Amino acid sequence: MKLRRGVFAFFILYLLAVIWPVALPFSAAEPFVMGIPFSLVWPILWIILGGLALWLLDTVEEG
Amino acid sequence: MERWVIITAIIGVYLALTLAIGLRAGRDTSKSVTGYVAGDRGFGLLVMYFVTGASVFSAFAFLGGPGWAYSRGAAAFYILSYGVLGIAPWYILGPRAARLGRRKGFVTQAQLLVGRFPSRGLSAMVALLSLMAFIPYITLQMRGAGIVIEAVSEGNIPLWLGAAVAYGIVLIYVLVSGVAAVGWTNTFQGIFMLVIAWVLGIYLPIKLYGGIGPMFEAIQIARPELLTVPGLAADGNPWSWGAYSSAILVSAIGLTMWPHLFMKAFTARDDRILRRTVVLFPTFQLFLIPVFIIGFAGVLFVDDLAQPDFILPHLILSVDLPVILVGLFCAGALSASMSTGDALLHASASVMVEDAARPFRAMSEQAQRAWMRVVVVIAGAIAYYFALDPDQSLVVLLLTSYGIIAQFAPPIVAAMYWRRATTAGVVAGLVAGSLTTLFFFLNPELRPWEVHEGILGLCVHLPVLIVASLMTPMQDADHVAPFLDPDLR
Repeated sequence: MKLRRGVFAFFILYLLAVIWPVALPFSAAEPFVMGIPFSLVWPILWIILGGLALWLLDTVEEG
Repeated sequence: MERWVIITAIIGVYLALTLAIGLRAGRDTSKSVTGYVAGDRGFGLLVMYFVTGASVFSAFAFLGGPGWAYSRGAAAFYILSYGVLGIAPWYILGPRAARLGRRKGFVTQAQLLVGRFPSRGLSAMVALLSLMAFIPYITLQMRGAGIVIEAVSEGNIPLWLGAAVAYGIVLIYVLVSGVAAVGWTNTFQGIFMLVIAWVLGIYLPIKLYGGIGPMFEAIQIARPELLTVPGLAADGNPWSWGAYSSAILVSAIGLTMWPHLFMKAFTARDDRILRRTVVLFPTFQLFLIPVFIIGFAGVLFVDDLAQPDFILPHLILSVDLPVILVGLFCAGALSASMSTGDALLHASASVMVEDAARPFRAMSEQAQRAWMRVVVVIAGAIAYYFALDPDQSLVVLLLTSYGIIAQFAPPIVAAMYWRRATTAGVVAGLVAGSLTTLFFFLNPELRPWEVHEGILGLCVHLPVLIVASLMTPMQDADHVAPFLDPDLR
C-alpha cells in the first residue's frame, strides 16, 4: 500500500511536470541532447520514468 | 507498370491478408454474446498488448501526429505526454473492473455503472454518450484510411472510395468474427506498423538531412518556434499553455475511460495480463517518437501543404524510396487506422445493444448478436458520411471525443471507490458535466485560458456529483459492499 502511494505521488509529479507552469523552464529547444531538442527530451524522459515506476510497482506486488 | 499501380497492389495484398486473419479468428469463438463481445474472456498477453496499444497507435498517431509535428511543431508533444499518465490508473482500475465483470457478468462499462447505480436512463445515457464519442473517432480512422489510399494512388483512388474499401473489409470481419477478429488483426497490424515506423523514422532524416541531429538543428535555425512547447495553433499563431496543458489532462483522463478499453478488460484471461499490459504500455508511447520525427522531416522540404494530415504519405512519395517500402509503409498506416476503427465499431455496437436497447426490451442472444451487426453497419455509415467532409482535422475530431469520454471518469471512480455516491448524484453529475462540455464546445471563445471543454465540464460535473449524492439517501450497504470489496484490490 505504501508503494502504491509512492507511485501515485510520482504520477501526480509526472502530470505537473508536463503542464503549465512546471513545464515552462523545460519548454525550449536548447540544449540539444544527442541531437534531440530538450522540449522533446522532456516528455520522453517522463515516459521512461513512468514506465520504470509501473514496472517497479508490478515487480514488487507480483513478487 | 506505373508506380502507383504497384503500390496499390501491395496494399491490396495486405488488405486481403488482414481480411483472412480477421475471418479465421472467429472460428474458435463460441456463438454466444460473451463470445462476440468479450471473446469468451480468453485473450492472452500478446493480443491484449496490441489491443490496448492500438487504441493509441491509431490513424491519429500515424497521420494526425506527423501532421501536427509538421504544421504545429511542439504542440504535438502533448500526445507523448498523456499516454502513460492516462494508462497508469488502469493498473488499479482495470483488474478491479475485470473482477467485478467476472463476478457479476458485465460485458460493458455501462453495465458496471448501472450495477452500482441501477437506472435504465443512466445506461441509455452512457451508451449514447459513448456513441457520440465513438463516431468522431471512427470518422478520424476512416478519413485516415482514405487519405493514405488517395495519396499513394496519386489521386486515382479518391478518398471516398479508399475509405469505403478499407472499411468495407473491416465491416466484414467485425460482422463475422466479433471481438476475436479485432484482437488478432490488431496484433498482426500492430507488429507491422511498429517495424515500419522505426525504419522510416530513422531513414528519412538521414536521407533528407544527414541525420536526426542535423535535422533538428536545421529546423531550429529556420523555424525555431516549431521546437518550443506549446508550439503553434492551427492558424499559425503560438498555441496557449492553457490549451496545451488541458489537452494533456483531458486526454489522460479520457484514455482510461474509453468504453472499449473496459470491454477489453472483460476480455482478459486474468488480471495478471491486464497489469502487464499497463506496464508494457509506455513502450507504445516510445513508438510514437519516430512518427513525429517523420513529421518534422517534412518541415523544410514540403511547403505549405493544404492538409497537413497528408504530410506522411506525401513525404514518403516525394523522396526516392523503393516502391516496395512505400507500399508496406502505407499498409502500416492503413493498419493503424483499421485496427482502431474495428475496435471502435465493435464497441459502438456492443454498447448500443447491451446498454441502450436491452435494458428496455428483452432480447434473445441470437437477436442481440443480430442487432449488434445492424448497429455496426449504421455506425459505420454515419462515420463514413462525416469522413467525406474535407474540413475535418483529425486532431480536432479526437479531442472532441476525449471531452465526452472524460465525463465517465467521475461515475466510474465513484462506482468502485465512493460508498456515499448515489444514483441521483451520478446522473445529475453526468448530465451537468456533459451539458457544460457541449456548451463550451459550441462556444469556444468563452473558455477561460482556452482550457479544453471536457475539463470545464469536469469542473461542473464533480461538485454536482458530490453535492447531489450527499443530498440523497445513501445506498443500501449490502448493495454497495461488493463494489468496494477490498479483495478486488
